[in-house]
Amino acid sequence: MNNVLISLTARQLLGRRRTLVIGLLLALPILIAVIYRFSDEAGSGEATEEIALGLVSIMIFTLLLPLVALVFGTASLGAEIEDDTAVFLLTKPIERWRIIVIKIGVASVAAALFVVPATMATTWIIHESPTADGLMLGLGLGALVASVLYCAAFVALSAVTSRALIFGLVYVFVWETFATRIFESLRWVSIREYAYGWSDAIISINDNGVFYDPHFGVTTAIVGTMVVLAAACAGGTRALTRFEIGERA
Amino acid sequence: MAVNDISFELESGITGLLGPNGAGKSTLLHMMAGLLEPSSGEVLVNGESAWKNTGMYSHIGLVPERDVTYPFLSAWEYALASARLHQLPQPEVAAQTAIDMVDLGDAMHRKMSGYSKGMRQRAKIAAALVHDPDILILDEPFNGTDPRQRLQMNTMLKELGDSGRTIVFSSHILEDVEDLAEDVLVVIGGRLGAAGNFRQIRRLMTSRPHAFTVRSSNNRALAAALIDRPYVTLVSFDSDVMEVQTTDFGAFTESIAPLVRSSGVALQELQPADDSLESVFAYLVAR
Repeated sequence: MNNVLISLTARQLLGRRRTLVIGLLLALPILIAVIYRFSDEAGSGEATEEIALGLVSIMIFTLLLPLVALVFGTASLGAEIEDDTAVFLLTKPIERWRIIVIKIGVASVAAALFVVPATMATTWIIHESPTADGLMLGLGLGALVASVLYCAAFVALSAVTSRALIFGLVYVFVWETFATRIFESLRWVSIREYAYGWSDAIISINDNGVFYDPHFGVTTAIVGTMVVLAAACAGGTRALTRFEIGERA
Repeated sequence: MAVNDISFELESGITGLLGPNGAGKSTLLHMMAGLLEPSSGEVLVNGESAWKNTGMYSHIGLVPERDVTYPFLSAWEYALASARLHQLPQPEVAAQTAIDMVDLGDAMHRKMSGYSKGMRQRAKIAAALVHDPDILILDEPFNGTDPRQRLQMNTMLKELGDSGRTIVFSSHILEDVEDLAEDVLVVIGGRLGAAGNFRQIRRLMTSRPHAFTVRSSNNRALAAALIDRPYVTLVSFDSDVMEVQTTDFGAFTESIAPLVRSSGVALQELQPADDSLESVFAYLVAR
């Protein structure tokens, strides 16, 4: 049963066009990093800091990673609801929690497969000794955690509302990007902050602010991660249990 | 479409849910399939509430009107996925049996994106039959099917009904229901218009008053001849058009031509004024 659900979700998510577009998007930071390495400015401390901040923190963690998770997270369940194929699943004797967990799992793996290698490759290309400080591994772990948490939130959101994409965009680009900077206390409800917390557990360099800017330690990050996952699974299951499919308008 | 004040019980055999488009048939079927929560009252399937009851899907097969097929799957993969989601002990055997029942064997390995609407409909039925359900719910199952497929589906559904299963299907076409269902539920405007044996309801439908629009070279002369007939209840005029109401459809249509001839008028137009399914159903509801 689980294998069928996983296979159906994966085949629906990893359509040729979607995969190609996301692949090209995530090739961008890698390409820019390569261009930088072969430029005259490569090796200068200040320039490296700037390009690192621009590519890893802003381009990947703030823009591409949430976008990719948003695409996979909302497509995982939301596209099935929109295409009506959800009726096929919902009229089978399958527990609703199983559907939600598998949808989250498959979307997370799909997002991580794109985002984690792109994050690690970009870090490796820019930084002179990325493995020495645990930088590449730490940022890779942060990208992995962020992929899972964003996908969990967006899959659950798809079960709750048909406008998951809009709410997801508002969360990522209004809440996380602006609101948490203006009101620091809002960082407690930020997936990106939890991801940075996980990264910080591995990265040993003192001045890591060029790549990312952690505000929480790993303990807070672990608790936040558990809360997001539990809320997404419980909320998504509850919404799917009460999900109504009526006559087409 | 909201449905109100509807109460009925389904037994084994085939029941047709008849009503015009937008009458609430799909709403009713979705409630029976546990996909909609009734705001009041309850829907019981085998004595258990249909709402929030995933276990009942082991006994129910649903063929929705909407296209619930995955375009990237073949009919074989689709039926097999359904069998595996039902956790059947021999999913391949069950899938093959269901595919054979709907006569989709020749195309079963082709992607469903290339299927006609009728073929996708049959794939949906195969996926709904794969676990040999006691109850089969079909929403407008004849949409998109050609006459041969329709005949084949009729035969299949009759066999399933004869074998003791409970089958309920919706249609807005009277003939579909006439061919298949012994019992019928007529729904209009979200209410139950009639319920019971199809033949009785069919008699009610044909014995209802009928109205005809008539245009002739001399409406008054024709009206004088018509009003003498016992089956003509009303003749009214509206400029050059005359409306005639009759209680006997057959007698009126058989006698109108000789009557026109004997009156010496030329008939220019004769057409039923209220033969739409909606007006038939409205009549039933009014009774």
